[in-house]
Amino acid sequence: MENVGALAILLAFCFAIYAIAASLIGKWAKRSLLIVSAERAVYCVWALITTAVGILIYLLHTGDFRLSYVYETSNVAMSPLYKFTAWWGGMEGSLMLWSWLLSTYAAVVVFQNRKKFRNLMPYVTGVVMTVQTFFLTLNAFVESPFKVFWAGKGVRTDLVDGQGLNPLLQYWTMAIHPPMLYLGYVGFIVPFAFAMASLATKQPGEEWINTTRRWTLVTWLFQSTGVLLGMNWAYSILGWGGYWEWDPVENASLLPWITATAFLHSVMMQEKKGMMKVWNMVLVSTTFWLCIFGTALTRTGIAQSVHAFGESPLGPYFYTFLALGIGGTAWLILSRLDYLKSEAQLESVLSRESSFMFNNLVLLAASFAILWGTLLPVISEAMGDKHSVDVPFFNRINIPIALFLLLLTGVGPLIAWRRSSFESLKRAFMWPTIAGVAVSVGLAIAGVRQIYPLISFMLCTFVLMTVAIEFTKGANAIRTKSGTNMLMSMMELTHRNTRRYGGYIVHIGIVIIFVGITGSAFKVEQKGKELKIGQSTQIGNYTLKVDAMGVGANANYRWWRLDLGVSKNGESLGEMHPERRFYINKEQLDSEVAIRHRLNEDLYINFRTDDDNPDQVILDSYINPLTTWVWMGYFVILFGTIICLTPPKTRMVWPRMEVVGIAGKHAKVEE
Amino acid sequence: MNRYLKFGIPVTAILGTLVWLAVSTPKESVGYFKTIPEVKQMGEQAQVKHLRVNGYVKEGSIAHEGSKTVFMLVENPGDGNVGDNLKVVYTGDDPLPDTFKDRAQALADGKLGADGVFHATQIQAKCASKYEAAPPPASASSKPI
Repeated sequence: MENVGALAILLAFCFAIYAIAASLIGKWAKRSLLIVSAERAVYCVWALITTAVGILIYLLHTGDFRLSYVYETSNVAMSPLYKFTAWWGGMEGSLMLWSWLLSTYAAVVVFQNRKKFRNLMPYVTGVVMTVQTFFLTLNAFVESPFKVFWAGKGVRTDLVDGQGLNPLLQYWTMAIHPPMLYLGYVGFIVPFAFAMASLATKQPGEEWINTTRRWTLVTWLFQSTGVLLGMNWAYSILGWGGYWEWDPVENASLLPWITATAFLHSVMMQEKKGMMKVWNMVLVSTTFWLCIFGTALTRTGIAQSVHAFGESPLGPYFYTFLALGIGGTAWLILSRLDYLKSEAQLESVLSRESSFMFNNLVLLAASFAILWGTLLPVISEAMGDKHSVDVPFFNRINIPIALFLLLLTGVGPLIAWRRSSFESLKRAFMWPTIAGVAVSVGLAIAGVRQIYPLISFMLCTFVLMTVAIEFTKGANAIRTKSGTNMLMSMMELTHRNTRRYGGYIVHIGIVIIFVGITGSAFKVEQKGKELKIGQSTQIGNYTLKVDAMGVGANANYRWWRLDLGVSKNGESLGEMHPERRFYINKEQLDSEVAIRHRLNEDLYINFRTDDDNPDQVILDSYINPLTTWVWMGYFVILFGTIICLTPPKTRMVWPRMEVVGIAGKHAKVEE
Repeated sequence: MNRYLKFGIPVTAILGTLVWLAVSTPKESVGYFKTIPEVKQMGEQAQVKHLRVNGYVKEGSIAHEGSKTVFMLVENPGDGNVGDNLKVVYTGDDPLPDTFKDRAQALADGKLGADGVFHATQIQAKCASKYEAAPPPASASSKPI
């Protein structure tokens, strides 16, 4: 069985190489049949990898512990769901997931464009399959999931149970976090491949941007989902009371998201004004290579991290691939600079163009700072004095950047193209500014003294107001014309220009997340409180009383469960039940924290048992204000992005719309 | 106004502020990675700088003294526990990680005291089998097919 799987991977490797060769030779020799055969090979690669993955999943389910991968990530007592997610619970399997997703994307792209872009497609196939070949090399020769244990000359068959999936990964968000993040990471290959293809064919146009806009948005959505799920996992599982601590792996997932966000914004400049062409090429390439870099960072053991995989022999492979890939991309862009000339120039600091430019500038500055902080141990080690920076460094730089971006979120969409007059600025921003200032003055009077939260809440209000004004203004116009009610008019408005109003909704989501993050400035914590059964403690307005501790075991783990009576201002709120587990096969302790989620604040409880005093527990409790808003914001972003992806009701263009445009083509007519 | 100047000023101001923020990062949030022998050679410097010392928890050395945790950090893993060792007192508020146990790889964050004891405010630990499980017992070795 495992031999069939290994064979499938090897065959997929051969087919991928064939696809590269056939599509490029077919292109140069103008043999369209060869190109078609290359595309067929792409389907074969998908079928073969799917076969290998199917076998791996089957072996994980049946518990074939002759295989080291199955032994490490599965055990008999584990539930079927986690036996399935064990697919990506270890190094080898997660690389298989990468390969499989990549081949799936490749097959979809080839199928979608089987009749279109005949000129670009051979290069697209070539680029995608090159990356595929790299990952298949790892699957086949470096980190094969189908390794078996050898003893002397035979295969070991004496192992009847495995160690099981890491307990930290036995949680629902962790079950879907990796596929989501990978869908986002891997998906960026498509815009990247089209960009490279358009460079290779010397096509100056925006064709690649228009074709890949949906792909970019969808993959961006997957990245956002992946990052947010990762945060939710950290919050619910790691038990330290927060969701983000600038860990190298967190940073690795954030970096391509930041550059992808920059890209989503700056493509508009190219669509509408024919500007920033080189820049967009750089951004799409940077994003893609950061995705690969992120994969490398988690797998080569280069950075110390709570959730990186262990040391591995993968380093040299990844670095070589990154160096060649980045070098090749840079060369291609530089050699095509003539085709990427800008069609317009920046005119005024107070213009939509310059707000895009500043947006890009600070997003890039943020990613550079994060990358620097993440790689500092590696860079400084090379220079002889290894050191690192921690959370305060990242916060110090990124909080001002984030606030500036928040400001731009409000200003950018409303400011006019080319140049704005002071009068028009006053008209657009007077009320939002007044509202924002009023909110922070109110908070200051209520006793908030920290400067960043005050600014943050002010800007959140400002942005919400600008968006609200945009919606009501547009909807009012429709209402007076058609006589429907306000809600219907707003839906009609959104439907007419899904991209614009969907974008606004995404911005609202971002604001809600900002509110949630700002709440963390008011966190209350009490750690290491020793309590006997029956004793109680106070945190904020809450009283926590240890009523009892239950002990038990099942086949997978032993557990300790606390009955914690919670009351607020003397009023009982019922019980919370944090749990402590000891996973038997892995010999590893794990916490199942208890969280009371409320809109205004979460009460977050974690505990440890005390080996020396069995009737005593050590309690960590936290009050996390507004954390729920972070997760809520995500759903708003999801909703907004789906609206952006919905085709608009009409392609008709009228003067007001032309400014922001439904599609770039129409805006250009205006010039 | 000159176009370059017009955009140059705000761009410089933004980047300048960020660079200033980065450069002026307080010393406490910069930690220097050192091995145990390096710490011992640093002399007085080790008592000033914020250090991150990597090592392994010596088997049977973990002891709790009130709210403090005391243990020995040794340079090499394995049963022999050969090499230099360093006494560490952990005084932080955070609970010690679940992975902190005998023979685990540990990273102690803190400063060396004048008494030669390392005062850690943070401990990170990684058990040998963090994600990659150790090979099963018996003298088996694994090989790819």
